[in-house]
Amino acid sequence: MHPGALHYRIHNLDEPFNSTSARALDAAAKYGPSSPTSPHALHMPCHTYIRCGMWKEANRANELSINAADIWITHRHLSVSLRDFHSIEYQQYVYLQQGRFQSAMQFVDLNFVVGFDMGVFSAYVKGILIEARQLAETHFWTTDAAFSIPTAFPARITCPTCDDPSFMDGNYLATIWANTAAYFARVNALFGSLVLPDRPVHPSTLFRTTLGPGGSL
Amino acid sequence: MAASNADSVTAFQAIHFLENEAELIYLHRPEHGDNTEIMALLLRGVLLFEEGSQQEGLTVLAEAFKWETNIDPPRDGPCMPIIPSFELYARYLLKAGQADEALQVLKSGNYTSSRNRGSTLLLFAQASEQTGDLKAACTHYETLVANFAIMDLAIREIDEAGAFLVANCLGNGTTFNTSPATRTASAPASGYPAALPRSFSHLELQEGVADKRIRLQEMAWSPKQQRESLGHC
Repeated sequence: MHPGALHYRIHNLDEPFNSTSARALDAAAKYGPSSPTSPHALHMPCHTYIRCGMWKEANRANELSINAADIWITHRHLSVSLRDFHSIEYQQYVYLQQGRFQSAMQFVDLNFVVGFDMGVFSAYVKGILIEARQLAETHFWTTDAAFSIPTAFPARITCPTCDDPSFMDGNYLATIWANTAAYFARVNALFGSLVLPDRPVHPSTLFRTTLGPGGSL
Repeated sequence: MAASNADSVTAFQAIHFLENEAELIYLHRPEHGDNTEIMALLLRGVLLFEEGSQQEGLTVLAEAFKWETNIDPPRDGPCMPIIPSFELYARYLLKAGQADEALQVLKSGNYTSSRNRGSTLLLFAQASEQTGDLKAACTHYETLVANFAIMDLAIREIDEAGAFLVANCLGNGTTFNTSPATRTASAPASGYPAALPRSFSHLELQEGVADKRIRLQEMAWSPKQQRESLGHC
């Protein structure tokens, strides 16, 4: 089957029930090897695998895609802002489902550097969203190192590229989602720890890794 | 531990924000408006429960769960709402001592989002344990520990899951390694905690543009799929 057909088959079956079908899993298994240097082809099987909760396979798919994109921008001396942020978003979710909370947090930091320091709006918006996920997922667990994404609410972010029709839909919706997810995660975090009474609700220190200057690879 | 009054005020402000946002989103994409309303309901339910109105809180959480069950599932990607309503509802049912009901919610909701989530597995295991179904508890704890085999922090629930497996599910003398893959509990990984004096919370981008409410083109969405259609993974 043509790689493009595999791509659309994965998308077509990408919902909770049909993603678990043999057809979806077959397409997921074949698509990556069919286009081994294409970051997005390597990533696409992850759409199926996270529906199924096949975290090892999802992790592998995203590792390959993120690595392929990094090779591409390194060889062409391109900006770190062109890293594969779609795969990175998915990979952060996979890490959270594997208890790899520190690894997941590194992606929040990366989005912060690229999104804010380098002014890439899509990375910034996605950063707010994955920070919300980090907070929502890690607050369920009792770790000996408290994560401390602030529970203060973000300034209401806006969409500077919404004047450009080609960016309108995606960025506008992403902005809305990032706002709502951030609000939801932070309020839930106020109460989430109550399941485990001895757990700190508001850790006082930020908890981040530091990337190199300018977010270099 | 009760949330402070300030927390409650903050929470109500956030719920109000989400409800207002939902009205705006409904204008453009009704299905996303649903998810925003569901998140507002979930927060309201949690808040009511934690402030002492347990039954009222559970009723609101049930409403959110029912709502999410009746809308199209997420089109792709990680969960939206970012905590599935079935998980939050089941969590509070367990808190209220209603393990049987929690189990039913988990069973009926586990297919509405990505399966095999860590927090879902933990709730499944805890509910099974509380209802006396040790075999099911063993299965869920075992899957959970396997999924978290390469975790990079010490997590108490995983330690407890390992202890449960050793005590109830494995043969004599069998041990279970639930240590973090990359560090021990007493030795923080390199670079942690490393404080950066900033956060997404405190930043603000250029304002004004998004206030132009832009009509978004409606996209074609697939009809809701029947959950009993297929299931091979």
